[in-house]
Amino acid sequence: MTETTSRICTFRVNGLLLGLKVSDVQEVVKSQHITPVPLAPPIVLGLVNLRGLVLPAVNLKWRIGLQSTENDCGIHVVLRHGTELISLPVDSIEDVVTLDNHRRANPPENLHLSLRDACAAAWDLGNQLLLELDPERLIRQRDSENT
Amino acid sequence: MSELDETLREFLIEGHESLGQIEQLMLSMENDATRADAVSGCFRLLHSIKGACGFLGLRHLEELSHAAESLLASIRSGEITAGTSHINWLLQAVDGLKKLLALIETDGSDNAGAATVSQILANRSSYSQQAEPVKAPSTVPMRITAEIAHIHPNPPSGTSIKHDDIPAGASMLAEATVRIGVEVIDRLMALASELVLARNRIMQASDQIEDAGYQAATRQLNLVTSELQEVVMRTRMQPIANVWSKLPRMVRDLSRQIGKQCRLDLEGGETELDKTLLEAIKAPLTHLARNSVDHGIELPSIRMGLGKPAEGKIVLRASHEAGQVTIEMSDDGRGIDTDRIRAKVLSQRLATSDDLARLSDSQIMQYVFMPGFSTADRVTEISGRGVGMDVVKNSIESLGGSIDLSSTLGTGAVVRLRLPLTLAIIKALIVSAGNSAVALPQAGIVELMRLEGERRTRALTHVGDAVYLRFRSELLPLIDLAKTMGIPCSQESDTDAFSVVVVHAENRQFALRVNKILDSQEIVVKPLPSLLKGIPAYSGITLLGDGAIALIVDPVGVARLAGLQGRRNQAIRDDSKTPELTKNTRPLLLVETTRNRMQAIPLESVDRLEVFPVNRLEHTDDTPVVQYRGGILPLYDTSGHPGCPFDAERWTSGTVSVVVHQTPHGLKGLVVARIVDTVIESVEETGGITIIRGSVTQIVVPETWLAGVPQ
Repeated sequence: MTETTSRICTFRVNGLLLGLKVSDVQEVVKSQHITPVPLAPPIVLGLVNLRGLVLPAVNLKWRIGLQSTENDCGIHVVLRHGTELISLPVDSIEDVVTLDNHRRANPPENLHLSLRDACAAAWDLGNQLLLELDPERLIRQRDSENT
Repeated sequence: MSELDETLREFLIEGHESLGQIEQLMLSMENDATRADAVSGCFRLLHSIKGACGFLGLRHLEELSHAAESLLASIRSGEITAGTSHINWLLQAVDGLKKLLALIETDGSDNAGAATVSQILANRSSYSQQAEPVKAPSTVPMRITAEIAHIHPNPPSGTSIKHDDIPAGASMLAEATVRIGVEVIDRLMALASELVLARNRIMQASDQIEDAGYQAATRQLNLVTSELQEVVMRTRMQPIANVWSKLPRMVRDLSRQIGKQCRLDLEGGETELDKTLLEAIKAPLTHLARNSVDHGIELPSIRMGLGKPAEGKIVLRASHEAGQVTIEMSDDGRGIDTDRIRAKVLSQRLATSDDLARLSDSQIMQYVFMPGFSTADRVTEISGRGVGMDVVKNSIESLGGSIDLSSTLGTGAVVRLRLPLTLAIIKALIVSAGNSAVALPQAGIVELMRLEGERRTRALTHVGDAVYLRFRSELLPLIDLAKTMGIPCSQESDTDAFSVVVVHAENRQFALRVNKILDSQEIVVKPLPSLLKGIPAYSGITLLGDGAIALIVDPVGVARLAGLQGRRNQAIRDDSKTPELTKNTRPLLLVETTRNRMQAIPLESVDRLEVFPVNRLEHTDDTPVVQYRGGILPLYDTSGHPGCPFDAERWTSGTVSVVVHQTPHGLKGLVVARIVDTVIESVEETGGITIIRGSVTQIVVPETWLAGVPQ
């Protein structure tokens, strides 16, 4: 039996509406100081201390090919990846939405390559498009970097 | 998971463990067939396996363990004297039992094991008919059938364990222990570490709160947390026997395969180590044992010719020593031929013959650890410690341990490993580099220095872009930590003071330049997130007392990043020659006495160096004393006759410098005017006079100098 609806946690980065499956999100936390890591790959923004656990913060904007903006409001979406947790700094947190699975579609073909590569699906919300990120692909290096 | 599944799983875990032990006991029977404890040990373990088979419905497993048990029963009762063929069959049976356990693991039953069992049972003829060369005086003809009574009614004297004792002993053991999954322990460990960090923050904050009740509670929290952490750490400790129990069998099989006779003796199997460390040393130990068999031990015919016993002996010994674990593997094989290493070094042009002439034998042996040196053609022939020794060394060093090799040609070789007890908590220096604070593991750090003003100018030598630090009589490459790691830092001037950490790693020394040494503390090592794995500069992460994250820097990785490669000639030799540590030389502490003469004290006799304000001195009838570390430290003056008390009344300075020396009767203090340096010089055992740095220097050996002092 398959579920007929999906619950997506949504947030914004550079105005773009993005989301992650609720089951992949551990929590949303505020104001995390990011300790930079010299020599780290560009996808790693630094490390954050979440109640004694040290998590890598992923540079989401760099990963999906967006301009880096100085608008650090300190909101992080904490993503579960296997046994590890990963922190994802975002510009603002929106809502948790429950969506009918028939509204799920493949991400549009004409998206920027590095953004398209990180997307699992696109959801048509009527007035706007929600891009659902794929955690697995998100934390891989950008494909353009490998070629 | 159903109830039965759980029972079966436990049985399998226990079964594998028991078989490992049985194997070891059988090998010891092979050396001494009359060892009653080994025989009854095997018997007891097999008996409990067989017992469990009954109610788990494992028919074939039961049949095979019964057959093996029956043979052991006859050996135990003295009906049969065990010879090699018996042991061979018993080992076969153990292999069969292992196969069945593996089968059960996949199928949930041993139904498919019929063929295995019947074949092994058929092989019983291999020993039953054969006349055996045995170590015991006579062979009693034997019959082996499934009907033989398990236990002889009157065990011969020397068999201490009666059958009746078995169930009682076994059940007591089972009650005293609980099996816990590793992941539960790891989680406990992580939680304890987090608690430690929370504790540290509360301790810091509690300074501002002046409430007696609150203060008491914090102290309590502090104590309980420390103890909890220690106990959790201890749950991760396992006896080293768990890892090396497989080695005797491997040594036996391997030596047979290549026509040699070797025995591996294990000592100190109860020595405990952290689980992660145990896992990590499994491969290196196996490698070393293989090396000993393959290359160290000679063929029996050669050994006989040399007047050695035909059977080669390898001893693996583990012990706790000064907060570390020492594992030593020694063999009585042919040893390491340093002349052949020299020849190889020359032919590979790794060094010139002038270089080699300066090196002692033990330094020559270090070439064995060089990568490439071992993989070249026929290098394994060089006393055989060639293949992959660099890999062994690297894996031991990556655990924060050290490896050390010594050998006497013709009589054997010893490999000594030193390992920390645990990897979870290490001592580290917190240093600032640029605008970041990082942790440097204390293992491998040789010395710390602060360089400023003129001292800085004198200590540094520029060769092109590279900077070298003058350290003792060598020039060490100086690596700027911040620059190498790309840590942003403020513009510096040529006269800024900075600190230097001298590191010894991978057989070379180098210096790391940091801004400041902030602190020295025990840190909890957290693994790097997988996104950061593969950056050689880091070995982990830790949290500092204030919750800040600090990266744990691996000095070796930083050295590689800075372009230091290879392991030879890293230090450019200064013009003055460096005496090497040989039999006749040793490190000395150079001091100036209260009468302005030079003296040297062997460093090994120096426990600590202290400075006391003169007003802390108290007086007894004959010797001035200070209260020191909960005891009394009497003070002597080495400028006088042996055992001369320090004359405090004549002393005008406000402080005294004291060399603390440990004797079997407590600590003694030797007062000196100042500590000059440490040097390496040749000295006589008992003292004497020598020339060090152009000055006539008296050697003072505290043991003999203090010999006349009343205790």
